[in-house]
Amino acid sequence: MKRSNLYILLLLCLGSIKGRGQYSFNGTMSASVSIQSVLALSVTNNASPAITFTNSQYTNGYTVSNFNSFTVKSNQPWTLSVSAGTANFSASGTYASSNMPASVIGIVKSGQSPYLQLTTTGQVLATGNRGNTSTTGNSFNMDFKANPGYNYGPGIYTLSIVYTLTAQ
Amino acid sequence: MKKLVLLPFLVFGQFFANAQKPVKNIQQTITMNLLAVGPVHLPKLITNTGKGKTKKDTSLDLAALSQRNNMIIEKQALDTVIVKNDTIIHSEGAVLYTITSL
Repeated sequence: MKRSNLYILLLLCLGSIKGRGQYSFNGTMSASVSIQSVLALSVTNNASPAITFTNSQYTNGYTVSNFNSFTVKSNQPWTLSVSAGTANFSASGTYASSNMPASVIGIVKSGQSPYLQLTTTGQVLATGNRGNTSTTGNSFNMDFKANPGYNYGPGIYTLSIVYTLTAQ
Repeated sequence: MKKLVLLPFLVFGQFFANAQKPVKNIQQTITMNLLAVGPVHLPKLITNTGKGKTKKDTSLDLAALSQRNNMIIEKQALDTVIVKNDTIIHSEGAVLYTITSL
């Protein structure tokens, strides 16, 4: 082998060693994680939403304990409000009254009082803290009461109830 | 360059998503069936003369009505008392039938 070729080989080896020495790295990296608001609401209807009144219920009202079950998952403190979709019931039937107000319906978080009479304005049904459904207060039931009395004619009445979950 | 153009929209989108309070709505529809209700039948008993129904007539009426699935019959005993000078001078039992059509 020629002497010039030996020099080239030697330079290549030195270059390789030097190159490997430059791969060591020291530094600081900052990681950024964006967490969005999470709100999840589930409603289970435990009783039939179609209610037929019997005679005594016209006098005392129709009460259903644990009418609905709610579960909330949230990473923020939350508020659950309730309102009526319309001011009055939608009525059908020859003798039905078109002026039966949503306020004949009362609802309350089970174990609490008084009943909230429904209006089209939201009213606070429950509040809670961040957490999943096993967090205290994030799973609860609702009692229901309807008390039209003798003030409205026989017929079929329909009303939408709106439950709204918001972050505090 | 295209990525740079998209950047302001991405940043604004993030801001907008965090600026809005998250809201979840659930709607539930309830239906109430209100029935015709009230006392509609008060049988009158015949003693010896006059119009009305005997106890036997009333029993037959109730038996016929109770066969119908679209009616509820509630029976309530009443005492009719006539008082004069704090003294009961006459009392008679009566029965109030409340018939509710379904």
